[in-house]
Amino acid sequence: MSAISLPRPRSRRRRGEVPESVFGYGLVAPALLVTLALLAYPLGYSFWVSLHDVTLGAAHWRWVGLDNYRDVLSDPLFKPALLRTLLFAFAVTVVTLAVGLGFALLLDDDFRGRNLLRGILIIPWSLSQVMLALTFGWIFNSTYGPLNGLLKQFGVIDEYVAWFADGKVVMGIMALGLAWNLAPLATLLFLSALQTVPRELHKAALVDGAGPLRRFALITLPWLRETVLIVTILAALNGFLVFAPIYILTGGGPGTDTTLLSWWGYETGFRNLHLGESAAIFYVMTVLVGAIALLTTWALGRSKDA
Amino acid sequence: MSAVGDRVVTGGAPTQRPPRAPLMSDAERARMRRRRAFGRRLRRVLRWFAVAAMCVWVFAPFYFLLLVAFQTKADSLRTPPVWFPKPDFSNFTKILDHAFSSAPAANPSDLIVPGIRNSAIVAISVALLNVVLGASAGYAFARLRFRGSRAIPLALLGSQMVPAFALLVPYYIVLRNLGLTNTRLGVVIAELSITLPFTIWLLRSYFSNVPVDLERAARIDGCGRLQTFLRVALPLARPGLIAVGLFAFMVSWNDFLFQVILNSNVDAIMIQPAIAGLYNVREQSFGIMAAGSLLAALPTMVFALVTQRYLVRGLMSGAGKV
Repeated sequence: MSAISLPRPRSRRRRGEVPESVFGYGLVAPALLVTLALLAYPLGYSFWVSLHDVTLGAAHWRWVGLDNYRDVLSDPLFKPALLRTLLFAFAVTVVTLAVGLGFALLLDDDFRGRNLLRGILIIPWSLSQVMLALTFGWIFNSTYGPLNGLLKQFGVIDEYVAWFADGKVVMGIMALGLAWNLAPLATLLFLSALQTVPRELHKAALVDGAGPLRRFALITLPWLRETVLIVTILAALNGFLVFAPIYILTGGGPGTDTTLLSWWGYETGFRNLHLGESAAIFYVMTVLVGAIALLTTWALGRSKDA
Repeated sequence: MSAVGDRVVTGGAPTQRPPRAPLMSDAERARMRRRRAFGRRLRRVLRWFAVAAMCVWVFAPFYFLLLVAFQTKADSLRTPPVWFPKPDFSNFTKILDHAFSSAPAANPSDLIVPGIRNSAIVAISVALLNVVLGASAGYAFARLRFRGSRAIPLALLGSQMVPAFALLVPYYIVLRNLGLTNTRLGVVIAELSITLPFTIWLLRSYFSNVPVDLERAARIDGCGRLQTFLRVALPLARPGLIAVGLFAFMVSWNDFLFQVILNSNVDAIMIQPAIAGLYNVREQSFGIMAAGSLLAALPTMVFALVTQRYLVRGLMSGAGKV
């Protein structure tokens, strides 16, 4: 800009031209209307459904107030399903963080083949959860799966193991699969954060005689705090909302061992056809997701002050 | 980098160091150097192990899948498994054969080609709608001032925290009442709801990072508001538009929840439920299951390789969901 201060072009209104705000609303309106119609309206509608006893196909909705919520919260399945869901989300988060950070630290170093590795690292992330369920279902298959074959060839096991017979093992397999799916993204996020760590800090610490572990704990880790929180929220929510692997691999079983909240809500609504109660379960989930998100955002804000 | 750096810092002239650092004897210095050389070698070996572990983690599941996809059925049922088979394409030809026949689907593997077709139509539509709606809204939020131009994007970002599950029951009821279940249009509507807010947010930050000078110049030269947007700003944002388009494509291609609940009918099958169905008949052919899912994953794999840079930037800009 020149030294003479011109009025900013955007504030200048020409004759016959629409004002800035009108133009802005015009551009925003289509997207906003779509969002309101497809997001806000269904969200309200969902709550409305959850206050009724709705059976699929029946024309009549019976008003039940908050009974669906009372039923859901007092259901003997609720507490174990919630605990399993939280445990699952926690496991996914821990593995994703560990693997993602480990790979990022590795790729932050210079070595031959680094760029190639970094380029193709994203592939597991591009796969759908259906795909990862099929992949891990095949690997851990009890009769022909390659893992059983491998372990037996190396003499680790004598007989093929029926991995899917034990609910806890299945949860572990699914958590591993989901972390496999998410870790590449975590790695890329950590990598881009690592590149902003000032070199001088490391050099200064080196001069002061700090070993690699101390340098990691005192310089790198604090610098990555924000990214850790972003990855945490990403992984925790993905774990909390896992669905396709349960649908494909277990159907909530054996027994109810892998019935997480998502599957419970699906089963209630679309297998047992109680849509009102299903909507209530999903609403409870939504509130919990909101709580997780808010908590993390709050932590994020605090980390910026610190 | 570290090899040179270390020597400069530790082996350099002692006078540059703060006085509290004690001077070393020659013997001490030699021992120090040996230790460093050993440390470097150890580091290289450790790194080699770590890189190997990383490759195993990333590619082993993939290799197992490729293995069974390119195997004859007889080989795939062998114990112990055949680790390095002669490539065999019969699984793929069996799936693709159905693309050229008009016979009705007789078994689950016949649904893969129709599933890919339906999903392609849906995902491309969702991508185009995202680009058109997202570009105009993103531009307006980035460049224009009006009531709500600050608050609405934040609300959109917050709406990313609404899980798709919360929309499941209402979409099912409403789309059923409208006769839109088991249609592609129904899935397009549902997928749009989970992609558009993120798209607007990404494009808003993309437009804010494009220098504003050219648009100002255009305005001074007499361009109208609409012309400035269409002729100047949009072409500059082309990489961003392509990235969000591909991203919306990937999300709606990979989504399972809406696809399986809204389109349960065989005629309107989408790709993810189609390959999920292969798991139920896995004992008949693991090869078909693997080959089908690999075909289904091909487009998203390619797109992910292309868009990863934008993705990271978008996520770092504060949006917390994929």
